[in-house]
Amino acid sequence: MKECISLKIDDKSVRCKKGSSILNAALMAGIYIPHLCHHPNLPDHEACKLCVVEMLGQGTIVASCSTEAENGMELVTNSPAVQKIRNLSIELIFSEHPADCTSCPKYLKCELQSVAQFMGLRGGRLKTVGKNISSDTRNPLFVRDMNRCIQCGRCVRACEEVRGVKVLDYCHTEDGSSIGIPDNKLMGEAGCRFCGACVEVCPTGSLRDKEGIINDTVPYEQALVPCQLKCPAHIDIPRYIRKLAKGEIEDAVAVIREKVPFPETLGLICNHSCEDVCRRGMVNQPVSICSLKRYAANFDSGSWKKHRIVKQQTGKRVAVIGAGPAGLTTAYYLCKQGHHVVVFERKNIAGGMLQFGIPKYRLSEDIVQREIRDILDIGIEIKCNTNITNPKLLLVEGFDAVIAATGAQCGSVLPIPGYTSEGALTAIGILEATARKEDIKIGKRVFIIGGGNVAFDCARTLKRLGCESIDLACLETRECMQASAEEIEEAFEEGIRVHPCKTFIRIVTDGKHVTGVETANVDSFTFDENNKLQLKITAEENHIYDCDMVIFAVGQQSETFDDVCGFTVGKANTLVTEPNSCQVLGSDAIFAAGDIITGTKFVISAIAAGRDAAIEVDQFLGGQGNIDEMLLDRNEQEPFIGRIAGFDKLERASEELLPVSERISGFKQTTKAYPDKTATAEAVRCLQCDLRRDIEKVKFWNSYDAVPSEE
Amino acid sequence: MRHELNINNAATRVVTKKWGRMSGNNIAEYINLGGFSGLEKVLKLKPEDVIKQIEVSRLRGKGGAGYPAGLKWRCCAGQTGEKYIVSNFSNCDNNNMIVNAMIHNDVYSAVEGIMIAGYAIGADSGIIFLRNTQAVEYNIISEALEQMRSSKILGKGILKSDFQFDIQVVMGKNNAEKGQEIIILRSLEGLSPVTVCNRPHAAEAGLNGKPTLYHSMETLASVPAILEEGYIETKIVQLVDTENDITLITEVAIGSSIGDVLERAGIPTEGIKAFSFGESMGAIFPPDRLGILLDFDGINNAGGAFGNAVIRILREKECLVDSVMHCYEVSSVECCGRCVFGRMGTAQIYETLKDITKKRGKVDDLDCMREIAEAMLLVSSCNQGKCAAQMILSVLDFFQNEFDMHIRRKTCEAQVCKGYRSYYISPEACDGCGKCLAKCQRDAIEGEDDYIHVIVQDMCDSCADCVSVCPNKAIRIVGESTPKIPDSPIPVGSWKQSRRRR
Ligand code: SF4
Ligand code: SF4
Ligand code: SF4
Ligand code: SF4
Ligand code: SF4
Ligand code: FES
Repeated sequence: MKECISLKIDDKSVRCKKGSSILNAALMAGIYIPHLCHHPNLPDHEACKLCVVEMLGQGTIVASCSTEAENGMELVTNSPAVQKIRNLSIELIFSEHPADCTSCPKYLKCELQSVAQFMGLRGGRLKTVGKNISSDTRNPLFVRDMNRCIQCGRCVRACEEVRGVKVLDYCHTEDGSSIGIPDNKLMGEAGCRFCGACVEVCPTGSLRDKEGIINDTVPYEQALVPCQLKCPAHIDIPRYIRKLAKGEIEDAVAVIREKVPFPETLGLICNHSCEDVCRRGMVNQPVSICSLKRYAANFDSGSWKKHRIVKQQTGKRVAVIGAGPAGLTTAYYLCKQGHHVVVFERKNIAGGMLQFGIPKYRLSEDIVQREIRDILDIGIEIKCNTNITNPKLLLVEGFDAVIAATGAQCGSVLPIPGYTSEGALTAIGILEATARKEDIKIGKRVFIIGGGNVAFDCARTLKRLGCESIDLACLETRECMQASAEEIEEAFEEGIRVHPCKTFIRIVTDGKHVTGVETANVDSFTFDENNKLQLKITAEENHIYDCDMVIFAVGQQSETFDDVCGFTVGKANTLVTEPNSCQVLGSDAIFAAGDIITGTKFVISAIAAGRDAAIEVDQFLGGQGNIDEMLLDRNEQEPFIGRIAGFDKLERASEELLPVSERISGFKQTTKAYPDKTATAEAVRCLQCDLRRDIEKVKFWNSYDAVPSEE
Repeated sequence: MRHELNINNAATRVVTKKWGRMSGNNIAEYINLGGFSGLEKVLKLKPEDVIKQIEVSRLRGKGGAGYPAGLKWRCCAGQTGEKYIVSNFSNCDNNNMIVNAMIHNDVYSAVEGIMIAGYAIGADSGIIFLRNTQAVEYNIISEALEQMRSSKILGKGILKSDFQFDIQVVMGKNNAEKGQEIIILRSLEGLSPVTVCNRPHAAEAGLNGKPTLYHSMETLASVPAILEEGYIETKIVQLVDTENDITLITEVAIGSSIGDVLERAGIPTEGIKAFSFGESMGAIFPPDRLGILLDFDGINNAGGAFGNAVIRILREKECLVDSVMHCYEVSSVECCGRCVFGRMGTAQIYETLKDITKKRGKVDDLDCMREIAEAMLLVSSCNQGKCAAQMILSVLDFFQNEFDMHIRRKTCEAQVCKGYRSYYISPEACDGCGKCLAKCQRDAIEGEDDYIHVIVQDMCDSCADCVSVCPNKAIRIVGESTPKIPDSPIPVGSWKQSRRRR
């Protein structure tokens, strides 16, 4: 404990730690002294002189931010002499500041404006010292509008002393000094790590995030880290990536595990929408968030388990219907909350889509089952081969809550002429049969209708099963196809023919069995106000693709529960729930999670839905609904990131892909996890957007109790 | 122009003793003149005894603050671990040629001084700092050091002793890296070249946090002389008398009056309107202050800048407002950019002075400049800002009349400020083309096609834009006698008739 001292500021007694500055002592005591160049996270620099105070007795005037408070000091914050200097300082600052405030993007969030408002002064008396610097928009992420710079030096100190990067500096030319980048380099060239500290500390509108970079519909703290915001389960991405950069793999796994029980599964098959918004993507390419997750999870030794907490038994019983990602996630978190959970699964093995829907060359059975084992381990009961058709009966049986998480398991078809012919199947059916290693009669020439991931999964599965000729056609253009770009690319390499912009007229048959598909070329399509598809077909003649097997990969539906349940059913047989809730509409203790409410979505969405359901059900059962867990101590993050040569140019690493011949000869995983070196190098590319959250927000004058009066 | 080193008739030759007797960095000549004998002597003494000699000599830092050198040396010597000597060889002002003269005439004395200091405080490396504009000097020094290394006076086993020492020359990256100790140390550390608050004393924790002995070149150049008999404290000054085309450098004993210094250098003291000490950094005095003593306290207390020892003489043909304005132009561009008062205060004063030289001055301007300067003096973060304040305050105090002439009487007596020239359009030459009217941004010209144009004097601000567009060279400066011109535009050709009629 540091020694405490006391002093008097404007006749108020103030106590503070020895070594504190006068300004800090005052601010802590709720006494506002105007200041601009002072920032709580930065060393003081005495540039603006707004914080001047007068020492009684000696009559000297000092800058309070950089003068140490001493025992017994008596200070006045608003004597005439002090006010004179303070006013002059503001006038001088505004003598080179643009007059228009309302057109500035920082308007109303600006510290300068706030201080000026407090002092009731902007200038106008002094001569305008013009500086006409056009705003620099050449850099990714940031705008530098130096016309509005007041040279407080905060950004330089943040970059140099807090981050250790030293990109920004005082520059000197024949026009005088200014804040900038020596030789007017681009930020990237100068070694910028795009951490945003400079923007965060800038009190004015001169350093800003480019428009649209910060999502202003969510709390600012969240918007700062777009990847985490976008991740449906809000995994603390920068934190685990930072661990990987340091080679602390086990810790990285723990961070991921704090939010999801399926790390490796996600590392392999997640649609990684986080990468679409990754800020690094605006510098060159996004961080390989997903592949890094795979890399980490690959090393999972279970050390996180020692921090896992399963709460005391509550005596409540919960039934979960469906052992897919949503159901298992719900079960996991509810069990951890101390409830007794029983999972009912219709099939013989748990896993749902992970087990039966995703081909093994993307996600192997071992991985799925290992991760499921870790979930069930904490004491979840599972009953396979048990088909529940009426959840309400479970309540009668004594369960306190039931969660339906049966997903969307039935493949849809297009009701075009001939769709029921022999040889017309659904993609999901093929995938499940393959997963079960059932004998499937495969056609020689297959035609697949659909352009999503499932269509491609099916096409590539058939390829591996030995199918000779595979055509895949869909309505969308090549660019708008729903499957991921890598999937399309890999399918191409494997010899699958893709035909975009097609509509399907009929299935040609020999009366019984499929012999072809007649298609027409689509020029464009739209949806009318009733969400009905409107096609514009080109004048070209229709084309018939010969084939002996047609596969529909046009989406899935849920299976409905018994009519006696009286559930309201929506599009694609989804269950309708109470607004903003996962409680099934009108049913007291029955909840639903995942695809069964939303229709087919991604695995990570199902996991996130499982978490949400667990929270709601826990609350329903009398708990707090707090399922957040800490599997790793939150030690302070190191703000000093230093320089890395060529940081802006570091290229995104991709996983090594097996050669085509090896790929199509079996169901081996098509990509290899990163080697250690690649993983570390990739992790280093992260901008660590979250570090910016650790920078304190500056309080404006109106949030202090005592503000010196203007007299 | 008389531009010379006034060393022959200098009464005092301590630091400049070898000037003119050797070519700048010829080591053999330096040794012939007794060079390095101080170092040789010192190497036989205990470091403690060397420090004592410095203390006895009462040598004070000649860079400006006048801090007793002995105190610094003792403090450094008392520290353990790695230590540095940093020596500032940069010229703080483009017009100040003293440092460069020292480098060109005898670079070794200062280098020897660095080494003696190094031996005394127990440092084994030194850094010589130069400004980004001193490329020529960089080469001279580098060559000198090379010669020393090959003569075994630098490096290991210096002068056959155990003492080892090396020196590095570093050039600043930009204009602002000069002059002040903190800026130079930060620049050497790779940090932004601004002054900062609360930096510890260099002698305790200087360069890279290590004890550092920081001295100006001139201070160190005095050190070898101290070890000889009959040392007296001196200052090298530069005298500038533009009107008489004189620029000279001379060494004077500390304590002489400025009047004496001028007289001895042969600069006439009559007809002086003002003189300044410190170029763009210090106060400007009226001639009745020529008695100011040239020593640390005399100059600094009067508001001059002792470190920047340029004495400039201003005579009748020079306009004070104009020359002060130019000084502020330099200060506002060269300030480190850290604090509002140093940066915007000087810029504001510069803008105000510029307006005055353009005949746009207002009576309030003077109070406003004073207010800013007083605040600058009180709270500027560094000495540079304070010195800049001194200058304008001294001018406002001593030369109120100059400003009155410009602002109230609308004349620049020295006829330097272009803004005070009046223009008229010669009715004989004007052919009514209207080009000037189109050009004038202040709508100060009246006329229409085929009419003789007339300048409305109240509106004209003498920018002279119109002069160059007139194809007939009709727009002229008003000289001694008032020109005869029509009151308002009249048709071309009617001027002579109307005059004849009169
Ligand atoms: S930076 Fe602040 S004071 Fe300046 S224009 Fe923008 S809002 Fe106004
Ligand atoms: S490294 Fe960070 S603080 Fe420095 S310029 Fe880049 S974004 Fe700004
Ligand atoms: S850019 Fe912003 S933070 Fe940097 S000096 Fe200018 S006003 Fe201050
Ligand atoms: S750079 Fe890192 S923290 Fe920022 S969005 Fe990308 S992954 Fe997330
Ligand atoms: S000198 Fe300038 S202001 Fe005067 S008349 Fe000519 S153009 Fe106009
Ligand atoms: S806050 Fe103290 S000088 Fe700016």
